[in-house]
Amino acid sequence: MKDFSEYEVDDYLGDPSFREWVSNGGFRQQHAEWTKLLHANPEQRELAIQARQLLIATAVSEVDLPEKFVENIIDNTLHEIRNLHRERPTYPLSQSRPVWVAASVILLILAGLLFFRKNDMLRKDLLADKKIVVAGVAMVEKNNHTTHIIPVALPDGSTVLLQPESRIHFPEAFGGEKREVYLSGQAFFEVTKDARRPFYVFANEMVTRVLGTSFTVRAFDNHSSFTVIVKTGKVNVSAFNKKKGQKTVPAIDLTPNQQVTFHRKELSLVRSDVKKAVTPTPATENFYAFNDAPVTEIFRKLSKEYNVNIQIEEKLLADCALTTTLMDEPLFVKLKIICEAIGPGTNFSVMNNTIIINSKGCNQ
Amino acid sequence: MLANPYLDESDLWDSLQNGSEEALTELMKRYSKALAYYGRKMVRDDSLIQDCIQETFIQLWQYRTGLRKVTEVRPYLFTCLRRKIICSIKNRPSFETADADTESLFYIDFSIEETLIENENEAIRVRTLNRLINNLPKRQKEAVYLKFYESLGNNEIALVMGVRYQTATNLIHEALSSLREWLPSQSLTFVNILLFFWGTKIFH
Repeated sequence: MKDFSEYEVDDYLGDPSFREWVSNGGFRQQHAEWTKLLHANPEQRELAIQARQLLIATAVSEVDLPEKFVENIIDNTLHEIRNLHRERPTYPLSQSRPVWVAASVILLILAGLLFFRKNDMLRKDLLADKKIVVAGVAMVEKNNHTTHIIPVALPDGSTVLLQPESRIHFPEAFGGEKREVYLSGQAFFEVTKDARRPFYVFANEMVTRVLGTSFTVRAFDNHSSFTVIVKTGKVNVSAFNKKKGQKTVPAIDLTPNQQVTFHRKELSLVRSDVKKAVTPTPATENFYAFNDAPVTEIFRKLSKEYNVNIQIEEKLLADCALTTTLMDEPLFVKLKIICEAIGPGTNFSVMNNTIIINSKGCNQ
Repeated sequence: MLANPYLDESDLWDSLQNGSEEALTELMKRYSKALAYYGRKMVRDDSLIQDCIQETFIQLWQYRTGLRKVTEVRPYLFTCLRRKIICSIKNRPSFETADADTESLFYIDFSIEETLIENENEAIRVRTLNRLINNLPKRQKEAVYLKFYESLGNNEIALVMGVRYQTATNLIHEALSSLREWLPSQSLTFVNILLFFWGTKIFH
């Protein structure tokens, strides 16, 4: 404890008893310790007064919060998290419209694929995807015949990590009502939150619906059962019937660390909990706090956790460091945040299964 | 001198990791007000702020196993809230795109404890100090507010405001150096002055 006779202004300010003395009236408190002390040590008085004035000049007055503000927060929050755990099967009637629309779109897509296969248009850029036009809607198709994971950016910023032997297609631009993608195989999705536009993954007879979450869909054409595994957020899985009159099955809501197995023939959905070790979802965290971390380290961490190749020019970025927080944004949004933080000359592009960071370095 | 704010929170954090609703409730009790006051510096809508705080705690609950250290709880809460508020505001039709810079959302008016002023000379000085501080750029005021009224460290401020650590430190230093001239016998550690004294809220 510093000796009072050596106190500087900041020492006064750092002394809780001094602050309390000030807010209780300072020198007006005739019998207070500080009052006596300062009277007895006039050489310290000037500093103490300066400190006091600083305190008085920077008050923050908060208007009272509404009554029961905190209680309401507690009640509502607890209510919501309890709902997340509760099983809430919903019945197909409420699902019937998207199901019907989905069925018709899928049939169109399949027809379109057959028709256009010979007339594939290849985009002339780094991305080796196919463009198909079906019923006036321009679609993009990504096919993964490699042995690595391919990261795919969707028009809304969502990220899809497409596994080997898998295929996905989606419109060049999502409409205003919903976002729909079609999967055959396995992929991990990170969907950007958009409450106005639900996101649907169609995989043969299984439909997965989310607002903004991350999850894996495993739906290989030649398998008899599909799986959906949820990492974050909430997901709704349902079956859709291609023919009217076929037995329909209640949809299931899934929460983190839950999975559902969809038995195709029986059209049944069975929910189970997931043991962490088993899940094939990327081992990404939900909160990254990088404190003056080298940019190379940040990219390395993301590359490792998402299991994708990220290529950077070490020399240019060697001296760059960032302080940034990343949360549950999809991978491509995270990359965008990092690139923007590095500097105006930095961006990324995807070439097959590698993400390439183009940079002119950072301006220190 | 300043108690480590996390000293008594390790147990709480452990319980939270283990899925204790009581721990979450305790965190809500401890931080809802501070979060609300911070939120109010960015938007004048208590109902929106309440929703954002709720979502913040729900998200904290869902992602609790992703927080490796207890020291991540507070920056997580403030960062999360700040983003949710900014996000909510951006979706409003009345949001002016001219003001789209997230940094300009923060508004605070430091006030004067008039009742504590002793005499006219003091009043002049205090008012000048107050005016100087209130005229600081918004980002500096936000950094100062976070430091002194929410007791966040520089690295936490950097995370919450989404800036580099060096930037956060510079914001604080620039803010305080404006006040230098009014404290003639300042010590070398002037810029650390308010580092201590605003560690707790003095006036409510």
